[in-house]
Amino acid sequence: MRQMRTPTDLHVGDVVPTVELETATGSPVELGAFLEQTLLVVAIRYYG
Amino acid sequence: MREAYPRIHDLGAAVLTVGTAAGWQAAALMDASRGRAALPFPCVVDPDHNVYRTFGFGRVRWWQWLTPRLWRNYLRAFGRGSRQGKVTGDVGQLPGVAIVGRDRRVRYLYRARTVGDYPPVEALLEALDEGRP
Repeated sequence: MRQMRTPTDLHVGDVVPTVELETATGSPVELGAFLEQTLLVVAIRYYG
Repeated sequence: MREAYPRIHDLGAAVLTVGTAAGWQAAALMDASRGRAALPFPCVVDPDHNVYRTFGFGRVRWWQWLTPRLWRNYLRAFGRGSRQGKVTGDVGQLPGVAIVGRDRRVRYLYRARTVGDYPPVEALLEALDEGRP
């Protein structure tokens, strides 16, 4: 059973907390791994 | 986003796409296949909706499936060559866009109001340009 988190009310200027994601192969990865530079995060739908 | 990526890169930013769908769909986007070029940025999956909850991206309300705006967005995407494939993940999840600085601070946030509701690319480029050190 995956643990569900409480929604947050993030605003511009706030610090993003830890965000756990998965790579396409199912490995865990945290959002910070992509923050070597400013990051444009686009939440979309994948259709295959 | 694919077309705008060179300009985003020139502004010193990276792109990460996130979806609730299956990992194989994210992998397919990163591979050249079916005559489609690979996306030049990483695609990850979010089965627990962590990104969506963190940034407050909403959900589709039942009546929104009946609104012309939603179907206009679908038709616009269709016109750009997008085609509906296998539906996986959470179809009720709305999209959204965020710009996060290296210091993990949110610089820009756009929460979609319906399916296919994305900010104009020019608005994103402007936000990236304004946030440059």
